[in-house]
Amino acid sequence: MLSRALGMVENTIAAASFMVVTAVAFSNVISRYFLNASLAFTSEITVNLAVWMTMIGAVIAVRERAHLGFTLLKDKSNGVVRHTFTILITLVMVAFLLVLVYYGWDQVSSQRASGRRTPSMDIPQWWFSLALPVGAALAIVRAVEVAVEDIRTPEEQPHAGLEGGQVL
Amino acid sequence: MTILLLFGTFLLLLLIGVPVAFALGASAVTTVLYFGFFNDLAVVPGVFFASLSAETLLAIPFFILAGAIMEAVGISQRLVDFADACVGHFKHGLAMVVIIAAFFFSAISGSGPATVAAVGTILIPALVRNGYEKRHATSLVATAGSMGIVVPPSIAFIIFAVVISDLERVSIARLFAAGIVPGILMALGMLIVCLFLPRHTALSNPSGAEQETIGHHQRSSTAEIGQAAVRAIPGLMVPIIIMGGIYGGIFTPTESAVVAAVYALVIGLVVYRETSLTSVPGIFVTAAVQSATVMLIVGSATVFAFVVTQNRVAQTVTDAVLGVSDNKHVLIFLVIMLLIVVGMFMDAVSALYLFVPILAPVMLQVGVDPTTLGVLMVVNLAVGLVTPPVGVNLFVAAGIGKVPMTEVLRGIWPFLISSFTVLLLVSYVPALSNWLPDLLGM
Repeated sequence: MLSRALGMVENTIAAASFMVVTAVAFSNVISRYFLNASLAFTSEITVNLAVWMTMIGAVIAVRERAHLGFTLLKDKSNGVVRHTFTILITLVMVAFLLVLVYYGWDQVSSQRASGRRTPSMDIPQWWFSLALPVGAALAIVRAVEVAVEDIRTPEEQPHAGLEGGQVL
Repeated sequence: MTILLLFGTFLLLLLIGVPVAFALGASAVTTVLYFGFFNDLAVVPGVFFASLSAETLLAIPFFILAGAIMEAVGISQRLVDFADACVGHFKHGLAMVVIIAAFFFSAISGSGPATVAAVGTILIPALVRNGYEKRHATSLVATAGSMGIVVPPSIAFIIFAVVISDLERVSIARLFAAGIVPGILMALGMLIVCLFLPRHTALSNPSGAEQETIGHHQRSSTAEIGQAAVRAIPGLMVPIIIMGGIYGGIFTPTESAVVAAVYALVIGLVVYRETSLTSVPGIFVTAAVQSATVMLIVGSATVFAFVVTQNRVAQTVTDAVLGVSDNKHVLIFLVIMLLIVVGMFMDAVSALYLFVPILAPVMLQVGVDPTTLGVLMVVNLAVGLVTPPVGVNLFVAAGIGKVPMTEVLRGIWPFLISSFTVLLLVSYVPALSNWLPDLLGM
């Protein structure tokens, strides 16, 4: 239940931020070329909000096993060997995510302390840099969740990486 | 030592199945820790954030969005219909339809596997109905999809321009133009292979159970071609908007990507009307996830590349390579071989982040121009999309065609040979890459 509710929140944030980024960037192009009024300051919103979009999108990708990877060895193995792969993979992911959580939070704290704001729109910078620790923390939750599912029901899990691999 | 630790850890993590983005980040972190202290890691979020919020790279989510919308609203079907009306009546007409439709979809989406998915869903079944063997049908579509990262707009060229900008400035617009001729060569190469593919003509119309709709029909009348063209025009406008906008000096590549995405949405909702407003959020979620998988690799790869730069790995590699040979042609061949192996295991985005910083200095030093280098690497990695064991396009095509991977691999060889020939051509004939951008004054 909780997991599904969280999933709804994740999807909503990802879609909403993408829509806002698209709308703002598009208005910027229109205003510059057709109305001759530059909204250049809005690019601060698009580039910074894109970080939220990426981080939450990456959380969904962990949830949906969509991150691109080389899973041949794991797919060919069974039983204990397979579980060992799952646990190792999850540990490495969590280790890197912890670095993002810990030092990302550090960055947020120091930006709050110094009161750093974006140059033209005067928005607190930490509103955006907060995406790193929050996204990474959620990704840890999802990574562990996926690992537990994989170990409990190893046969039922879809092959990883293909959906996400549909990009490059 | 650094280089061994960094690349060794990465390779090891990749092999045990850690997703690329996390393997990159974790190996960079390991290297930093080995040579320094815990708090040296404090630079990581800064580097990560900066790469995710770079204005140039924002083109990537928008091109992915444009591709996702175009597929959702039914543009691929219309491109296929149009190509079919034009060439479907020829002996190998359906194979031509695949190549032409993939070429145009590449000119919309900027990504290989997206092209495979869009074109393959419709055409793999049609190819099989027309008597092609399944392994050839899937291989053809997978290879046609590898044009996706060569034909502009191309995510790979955007990444190349960003990564090489520390050494040399090459505009994305110039690289986009440089990809057109090599893209056409790849298409011609595939066409030649198709002429020699065996076909079971007896199977072409299995017991009349299924109505033939694509390929193998009478020559279309001018009116029919015109009708198909009109239906395809809104979609065909997308590459014109993107390319015209960039080369007319109206848009930056990022802006052209936004305009393409919004245009695609309007076309889908207002002109084609197969998509309802309620399905739009879903398309955005899909596009956000697809783009996040790429952008997370971008973020981690930037941290990885940062460690490479900090430790002067490039200098070590340059010295070592020049110790072996300083002959331009030999070095080009070595780079091709290296990237073929790399492409077997790695996606194009991370490969560019890993290898441009260490290979570009030495290649530029021996006199390879940056445009040719970009085309060489991107075409090389496009071949990597269809080389086993980790050819992403192969997986997608196998999934769509419901063919086991082992079967696909038996059909891929002729296409690999044709792609590899094109790769050698563009690597050793710089004019193929430079002619068009020079002509356009890019």
